[in-house]
Amino acid sequence: MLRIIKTNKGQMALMGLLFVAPAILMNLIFDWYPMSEGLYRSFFKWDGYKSAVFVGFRNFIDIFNDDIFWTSMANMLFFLVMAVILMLPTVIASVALFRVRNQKTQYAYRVLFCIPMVVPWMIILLMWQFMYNPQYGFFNRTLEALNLAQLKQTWLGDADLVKWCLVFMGFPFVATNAALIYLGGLKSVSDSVWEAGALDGVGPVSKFFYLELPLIVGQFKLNLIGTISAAITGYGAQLILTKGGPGFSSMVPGLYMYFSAFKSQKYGYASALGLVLFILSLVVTLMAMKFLKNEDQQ
Amino acid sequence: MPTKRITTFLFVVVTILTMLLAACAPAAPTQAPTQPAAEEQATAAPTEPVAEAPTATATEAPAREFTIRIMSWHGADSATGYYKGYRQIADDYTALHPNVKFEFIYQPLDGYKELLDTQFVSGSAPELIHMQPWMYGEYANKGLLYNLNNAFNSKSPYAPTERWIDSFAGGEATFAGVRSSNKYGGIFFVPNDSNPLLSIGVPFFYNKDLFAKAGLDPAKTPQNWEEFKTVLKALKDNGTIPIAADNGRWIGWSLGQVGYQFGEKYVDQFYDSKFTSGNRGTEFYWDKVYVALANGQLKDTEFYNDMLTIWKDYAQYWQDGWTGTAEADAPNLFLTGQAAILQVGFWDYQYYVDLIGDKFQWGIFPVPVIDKNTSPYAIGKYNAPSNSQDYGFTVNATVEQDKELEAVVVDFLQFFTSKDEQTKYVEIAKSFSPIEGVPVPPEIAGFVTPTEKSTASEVVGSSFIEWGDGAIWPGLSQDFLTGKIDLQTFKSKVAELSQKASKDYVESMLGPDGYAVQIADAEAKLAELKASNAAEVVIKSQEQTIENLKLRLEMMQTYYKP
Repeated sequence: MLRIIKTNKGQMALMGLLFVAPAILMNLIFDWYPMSEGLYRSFFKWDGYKSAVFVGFRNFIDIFNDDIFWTSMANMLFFLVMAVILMLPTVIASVALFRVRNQKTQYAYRVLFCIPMVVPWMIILLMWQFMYNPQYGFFNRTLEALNLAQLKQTWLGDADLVKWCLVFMGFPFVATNAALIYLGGLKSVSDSVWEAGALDGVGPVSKFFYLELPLIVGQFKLNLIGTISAAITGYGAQLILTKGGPGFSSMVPGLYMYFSAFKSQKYGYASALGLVLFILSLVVTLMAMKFLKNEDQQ
Repeated sequence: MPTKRITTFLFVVVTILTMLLAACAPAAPTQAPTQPAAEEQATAAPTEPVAEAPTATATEAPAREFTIRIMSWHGADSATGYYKGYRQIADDYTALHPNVKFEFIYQPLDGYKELLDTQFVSGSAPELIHMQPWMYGEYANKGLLYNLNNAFNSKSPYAPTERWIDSFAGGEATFAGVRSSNKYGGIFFVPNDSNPLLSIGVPFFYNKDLFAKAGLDPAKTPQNWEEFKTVLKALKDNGTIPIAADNGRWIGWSLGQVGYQFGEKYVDQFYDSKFTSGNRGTEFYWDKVYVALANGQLKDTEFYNDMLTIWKDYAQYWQDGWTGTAEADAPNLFLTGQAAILQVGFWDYQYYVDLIGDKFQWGIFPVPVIDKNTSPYAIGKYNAPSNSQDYGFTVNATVEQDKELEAVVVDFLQFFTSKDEQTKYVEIAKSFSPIEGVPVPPEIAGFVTPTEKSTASEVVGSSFIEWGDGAIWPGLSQDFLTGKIDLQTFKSKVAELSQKASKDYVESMLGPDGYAVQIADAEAKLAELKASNAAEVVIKSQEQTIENLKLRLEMMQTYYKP
């Protein structure tokens, strides 16, 4: 072991490179190559196989003149805002769980948090689809049972309700992964901080805003990046539940990109849409980071 | 441990990891070659020298081991009997040729094309691929499918006819439309589960108990659209959902029910009789519609308003919230006795028979025709038998690179379509057969429209909607049917989409990869055939292909207005 430490820096660097080589190789093949290919293809009119014709910025000009794209952007903005707002319940739930001093109770809650993690997302989507069914779904049946049949809705089939229905699917809006990250952050804080707060007579609300929340800003940033990226580029729920409908009421840019590729065979256009989404996601994330950094410094 | 040894160790680990990664790549069958360059396929696909046309018999198959992969949307767990039928034929073939094995790849139709796209792009597409009618044209035009033209013109060891193609019901004439659907003028699939001489509808299953409950005579089914509306209204007034609809395929199906009642031979008015008479009526049909759409001649017609108004009126009888109902959920409404009517294809017959069981009394009736009582422009007839082969199993173009594999695949397909195997198959699968003389199983005879009522053909109908951008027109249709946009807006938007898509197609056919190059390739192949003293019938078929390609080019050049 001592001999290794004594070897020269060049050999150490080589060893380090060899250690990370497999990861870099995989990263280049499976992340960077497809991304570069998508970037390249976005400047072509391409049906997916051949006849790729270079069209310069034509695809991007078409995107910005495409009514469906702008409709999907407006829908996406709605989902993005809601996703960011609905990060709050997870933070509150994590803090509340952290404050539970009884270890057994805290463990039981942690288990409850984690159980949804093992249920595949697809199953959850299909369950919600079933619950929203206007004829035999849970919600309308419940309203009927409560003699509130006049409140029955068509849910996913209602252009005015569909976006809210998709947002509500996250109820009670406690994200397991995010909660575990927040809990980890809170647990890493020294007990002396909480003791000092208690000695100063900090109340539960003040404790949340002046101690707990600032202490997990790092974890919040991490989750925020994931939330923004998922809201801008995601389309799984729309694909499975609504196909972007009724009409285009729940169409999002990611789904439009998917349909452009696989329903219209406009792979060049779809690549361009993907690039626009990537840039948008990057810009919004950087802006959010900058804002949080400023807040942090203040 | 010395640094040098560590370095060596790490190098070995990385090398092994790289090899493992390579080994983890999807296993291709030993005989499957890599995907050829697109241009190579484009030139190779249209014709195959007759000297190389496989004529293998059971005893002539190569002795080497083969595993042929067959991809279909029917799988071992499907509720239908198709997979069992295919498996039976494959097992029969393996019994004759123990060195040929079959591996079935199942993918539901939802996601089928997406998987296929990725398989073709990555060069891992299977040897035999089941394709829907709307799929093969696209892949054939991209040079990804094997042209079976010469195989069809050769003798099949399993058929009594001189050429394999003659053993199909209706013979070569029923392949005219198939040849016109791709730019090579070739045949790219072996038909199955259909019969071009029969008008096979996608009828309605109906719940007789719900009909009776609504005061309707369950034995009396609607004979025209007006009677149909009366039935739908009675059901709705009784609090029953008349029709189970969904936000997927139902949009196209319901549009087809109405659309195919308008515009018989409508595009013929734009063309000289040499492009519309005889077989060319059908054979040039696709090109004629493409050019008419591209020219904007189908942007509006005298029948669109009636057609679209009827379609929208029809939508009031679908369940509330149908735009949020997935394809898989709509049948539940019917099966649980909430909806009275469900449209079902014969391919799902057994599935629904089993699921309905004795829950309720049920029957079948064809989609009623729209006659002059409903619209003066309506055709008022059922679709004529298409006289055209519909769909079936395609062959991956890569098999061409391995002559032994090519021979085995073609031999299997000829075995697959032998009368004996097909007779066995239709009984297992409860399906139709394209082979002359194979009987229709009595259970599905009700899906066949009586010939005397089936006369409409070359119907342009709603092409101006469906031939547009597939990412957009279904959404626009939902907006129209739910009253979010009006008829004029819908009409102009979908017409714009289909005009754009058709212009792209026509211009590609008039461009460097289009008909001109196909004619040149076909002529070169004809010269090869003549030089190799190929059979007269094959030479004639090739000459016919060239003549048709030239006429199609002439038609586009003459009539397309950029």
